[in-house]
Amino acid sequence: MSDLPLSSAGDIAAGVSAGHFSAREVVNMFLARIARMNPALNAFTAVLAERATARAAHIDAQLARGKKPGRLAGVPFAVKNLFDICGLPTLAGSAINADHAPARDDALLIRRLEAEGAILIGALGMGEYAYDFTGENAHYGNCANPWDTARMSGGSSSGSGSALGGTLVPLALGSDTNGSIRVPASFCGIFGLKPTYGRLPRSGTYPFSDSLDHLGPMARTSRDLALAFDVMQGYSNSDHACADRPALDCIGALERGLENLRIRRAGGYFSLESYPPAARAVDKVCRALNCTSEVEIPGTQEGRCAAYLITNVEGSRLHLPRLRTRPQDFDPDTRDRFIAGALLPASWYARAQQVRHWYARKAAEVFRDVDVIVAAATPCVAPRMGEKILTIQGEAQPLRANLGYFTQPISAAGLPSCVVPTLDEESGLPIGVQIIAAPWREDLCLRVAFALETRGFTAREPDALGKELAAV
Amino acid sequence: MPNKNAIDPPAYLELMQTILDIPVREEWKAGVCLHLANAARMADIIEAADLDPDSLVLAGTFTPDSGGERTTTETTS
Repeated sequence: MSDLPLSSAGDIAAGVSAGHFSAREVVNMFLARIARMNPALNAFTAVLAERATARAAHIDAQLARGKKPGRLAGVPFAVKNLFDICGLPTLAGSAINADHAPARDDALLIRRLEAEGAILIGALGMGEYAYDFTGENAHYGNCANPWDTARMSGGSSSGSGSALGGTLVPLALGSDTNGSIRVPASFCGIFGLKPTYGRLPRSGTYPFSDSLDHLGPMARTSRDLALAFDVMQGYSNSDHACADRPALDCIGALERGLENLRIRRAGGYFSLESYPPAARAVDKVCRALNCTSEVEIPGTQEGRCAAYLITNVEGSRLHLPRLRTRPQDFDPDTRDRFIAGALLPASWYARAQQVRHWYARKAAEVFRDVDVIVAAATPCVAPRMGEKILTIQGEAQPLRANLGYFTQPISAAGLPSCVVPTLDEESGLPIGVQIIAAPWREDLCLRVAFALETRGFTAREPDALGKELAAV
Repeated sequence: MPNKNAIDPPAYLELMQTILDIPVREEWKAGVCLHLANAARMADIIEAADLDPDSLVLAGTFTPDSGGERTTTETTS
């Protein structure tokens, strides 16, 4: 039992199913860890002890009757607090939404995970209305990085990254509009998958930018990502953007290796001369993959700018009524951006949508000759909390908008991308690398991530919290 | 790159906040103007993208479906 926090979701499910330990024991152990560690990390905004305990008892009772609870039997998981959780208001990181009525049902992806035996254990903090890459939140406090609690967790799925990095939970869900799964995965040293746009139904989650919003799993192993992703796939007409595509068998594809895969390093916009930690990370991954040649996706700068403007306009339109009536209740860091977005000319938005389609076609042309592209996930390791400026291409830029410099264009093209953790020896901090594939080929992202994991690219236990974690 | 989307952020903010009926406090204006200027830079970049000037491919598309939830599975080769 003492090894459970570092166990994968798959191993926990196997242990519960085999009767090595009960779902109740698993839940109690993770609840104890959350109680002890969350004050330092501020990852959870709600802990569902009663619900999780009852659910665990149900799983154990099923097993006692000889029934199989499913592929995630007894696995605790937590979700970014923009997912509807029955009985709680869906905060989406805001103070405004705390006035909302409690959700009457769980989000669809929560229901799909629980249908396979998983146990929802809590709601996780996030940047206000998902307009964030830092993990800072003026209402609920900053979410800390488990590798150094003075540093940013990354956002906006900040609690998801922090809770997984700190081994408070083996599986979490996040959302990713422009990098909000991949940035915290990079900073917290874990795996995260942004699927193809339209793959997973977003039903029962609070929106940000309908044209770019994705949901996805975050975990400490690539196999757990694949397991959760496989469980959550499936068309639903409850999300108008959900594509009616056949589901992939990613678990079945995981161990097929690298043979016959055409893997290239991203060049051009993704060149890393100005970003030494990111360059070291991509160098290491490319060496492990024996990847020696580059490819450039034309139009990436334009695609990134299109995603920026689409997000700014759509998010601001969503919040326009509240910007009119209670702007003082927004987090100052998001309010100013939302106000600006509400004022932008319509022609800029239309052009941005046009450029997005154009860029997606450019990316599709590249993937005729390439299976997987390796790119940095973030320009840097986790910055210290409170930092406001990031140097991009030699120019001082607002940090909050630019931590997603390498993830935002991938969202614009709607491509699947899996972040694999690396450890930057120079800083002693993690930094992730994106494994990007053609639309609808999450199996390739996960297959390469798994191959890297077998070559040592694993989610490690944070040194800073090691002693405290060992004492729990 | 020609600056086709040049705006004067403070003047633009004053005009548009009235049209959109958003009460912007004085102490917020510098931050909003920073984001307006940033968006204008982004707009210049996408304006310069090499698109066919007679094309207009931008609509989100959808397939009307009156059925219930379905789940399909395939094995990759």
